[in-house]
Amino acid sequence: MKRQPVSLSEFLIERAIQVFGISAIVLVALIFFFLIREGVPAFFEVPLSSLFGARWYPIEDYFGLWPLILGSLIITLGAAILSLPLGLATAIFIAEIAPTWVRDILKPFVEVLAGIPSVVIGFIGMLVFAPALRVALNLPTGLTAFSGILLLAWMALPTIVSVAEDVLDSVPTTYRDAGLALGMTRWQVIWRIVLPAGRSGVLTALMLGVGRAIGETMTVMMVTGNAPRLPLTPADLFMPARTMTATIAAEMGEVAQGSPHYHVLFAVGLTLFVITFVVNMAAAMVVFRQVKRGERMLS
Amino acid sequence: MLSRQTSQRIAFIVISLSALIVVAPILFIVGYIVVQGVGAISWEFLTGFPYNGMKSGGVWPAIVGTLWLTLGTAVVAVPVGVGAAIYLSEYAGDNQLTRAIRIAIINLAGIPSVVYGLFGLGLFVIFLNFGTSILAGSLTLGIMTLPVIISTAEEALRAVPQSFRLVSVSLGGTRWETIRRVVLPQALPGIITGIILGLERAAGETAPILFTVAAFFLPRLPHSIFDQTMALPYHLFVISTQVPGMPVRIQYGTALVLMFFVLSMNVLATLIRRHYRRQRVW
Amino acid sequence: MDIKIRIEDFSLHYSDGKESLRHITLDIYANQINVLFGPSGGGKSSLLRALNRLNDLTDVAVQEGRILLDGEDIAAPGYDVIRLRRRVGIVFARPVPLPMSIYRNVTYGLELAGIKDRAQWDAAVERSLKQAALWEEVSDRLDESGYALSGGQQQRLCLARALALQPEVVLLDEPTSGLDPISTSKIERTLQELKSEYTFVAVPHSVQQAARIADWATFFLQGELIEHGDGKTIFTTPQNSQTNEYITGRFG
Repeated sequence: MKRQPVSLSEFLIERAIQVFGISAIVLVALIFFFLIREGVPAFFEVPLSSLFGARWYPIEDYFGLWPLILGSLIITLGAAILSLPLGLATAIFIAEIAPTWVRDILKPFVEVLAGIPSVVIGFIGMLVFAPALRVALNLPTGLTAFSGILLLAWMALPTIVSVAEDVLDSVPTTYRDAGLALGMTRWQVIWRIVLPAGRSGVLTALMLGVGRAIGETMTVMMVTGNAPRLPLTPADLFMPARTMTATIAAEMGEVAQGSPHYHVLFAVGLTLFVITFVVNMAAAMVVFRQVKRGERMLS
Repeated sequence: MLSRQTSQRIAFIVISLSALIVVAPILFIVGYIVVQGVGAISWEFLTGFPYNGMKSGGVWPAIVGTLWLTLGTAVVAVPVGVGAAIYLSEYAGDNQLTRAIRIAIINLAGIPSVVYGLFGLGLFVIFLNFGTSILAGSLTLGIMTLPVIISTAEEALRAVPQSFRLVSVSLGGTRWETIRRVVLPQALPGIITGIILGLERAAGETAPILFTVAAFFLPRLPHSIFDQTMALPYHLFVISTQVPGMPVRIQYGTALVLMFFVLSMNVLATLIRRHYRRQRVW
Repeated sequence: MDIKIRIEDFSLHYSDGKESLRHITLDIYANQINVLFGPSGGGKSSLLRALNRLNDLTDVAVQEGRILLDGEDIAAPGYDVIRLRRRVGIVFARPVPLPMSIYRNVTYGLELAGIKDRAQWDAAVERSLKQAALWEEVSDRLDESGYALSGGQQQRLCLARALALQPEVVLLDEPTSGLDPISTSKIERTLQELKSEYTFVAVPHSVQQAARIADWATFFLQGELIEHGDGKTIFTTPQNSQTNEYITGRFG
């Protein structure tokens, strides 16, 4: 409707709504800007050889980012690898197998998991889970990369489950009926028809889960032992590790504002921002393309 | 080669076990914290200040701080979030700008909470000179909560049948009058549910408040939005990692209070949604 | 016969390329039931919605020509559409009560028009519910939800809601398509009783209904006006062979 609103108040409200509408764009730009503003100086104040070194020891001006990046990487990937099949299986269980009453109980449960603050999970992880793991695996400490992986995998589940569930729900019933009419078992229908039909959505779920896991802060900070070591062998999984997020959270409170250390921490934040931006953009592209294909199929 | 029936049975068993692996720990965590923490709960614990290096006393200032922050988050995020949702659902055309907004929202939702903390530190605490304060923390948490509120509110608005809008316009309503009198009231329960879920997340967050508002120990209540404050999630973090010799009972008690606070919001949101879904005529 | 609306060389295309209208020229007579009929997709609904500019809400790519309401071009840019929609009301195919009480459904348009006087509301509710032949059935439960009514009652409520604004023209877009025969005949009778006060433009849901209610009838086929004339002539001795084939049931 291209028409001037009748009253001044209506005019003002509609302008405000428009401004709020574009606020998301402004905010992403602002966040990016401030991370650059505070983070980029790090690349001038700290020698690159230090930034790309293998040692993070800020007190002695060692700002090697590799331990942090690799720490984040293995923990995130580990969590994603564990989380995807579990999440997918849970989504299949909820959407395809469970009777209605079980579904009605399960779904709120998964939402409760999404709602438990990460500091609470970190707390339980530290007090209960890590010690149990130490005894079970006979490790010197339970605060390891592996503990972080297990807890993160579990925490990323609500995201993966809910997205995967939407995907499974969106596969048309006619596909399923056609499969059953051909004499396939329910499992064959799920495995050969429903999952392939929803595979791009499952990819989205995975990427959003990765995005969630890489940004998780409090839990990893509390259960991974926080030692900035370079994880290179599989055995390192069972040693303490340090992620980018935990580094920022643990150290930002104690640095002098404007110091190289301060700027490096912002640079770490900038790196995280860029990584999640790329991951989420990729996920969004899959979603948008899917929508387009859906429209083509309809018209 | 397994028979089709056998392979189906095996697959279903594996899947059901996976679902169990997902769900059982939730029960365990909630149950364990309740069992371990309930002994610490007393009137004195809930309404008292911590003392003796936080090894004794209560969590009152942290509860009050979290209430302040939740309220502040709502003040920041609700108008902007609902406004943006109205824009997307009722005004936005199918064009590049709308697509850019949607991409921005997806990205806002994906930014790690600790990066929001950095942003809040850079913009609100330092650049705008709000200092470490409830104001800076609320703004940071509010922005972090926006994507949740926008997407749930938009979904609620879109669920209102198009025919209502058409009828209202055909009776001489402008677009805004139609939204205010018909669309918003119908979408309200869904919007409120989304707001509560968003605030629930904000109330439980630690990383964004680390450098923007949270005080390690502050033996008084905040007086204004320019004060620092203690907050439940940060308090739990502090007493479980930074204070040696902390009695476990108090740690679990604090975790219980925080979890109760957050999950009761979750339950409230679910109840509102159920109630209105049943009442709805369309 | 007074001409209420004059449509002059009016064309319309949607941007998705679906339905369209080509070079329609047509007069709508005052205090008559003017019927637009033909197979679906012929553009009747689009024309109807152009008469109170509801098409503004959809994606219209091209719109040409003039639509004169009492000599004023309502299709012109800058025309006050809000005032137009108060003068030209519409009843849709499916009954859509707003999610509020019966009373507030009827007063909704008045509220929008800025009328706040309770006595005026009461009078309008009674008058328009009586006109829509619904008053007797609901006068003792005006505070109940509009959805508490049966389908036929809901549609009469929608008619009453449109009449409450005392429009000059009432557009009816297949107003009885989902209703039982009794409700349908109630509504048809109501239209006959009301046409001394209003001008009706109706898209009926069947040829039979078109023949029953039409004072004037216009046959549309694939976006073009094929034949126009008084109801009796069109439905007994149509001039055009396509009109004849359609009303005798050979297609559509």
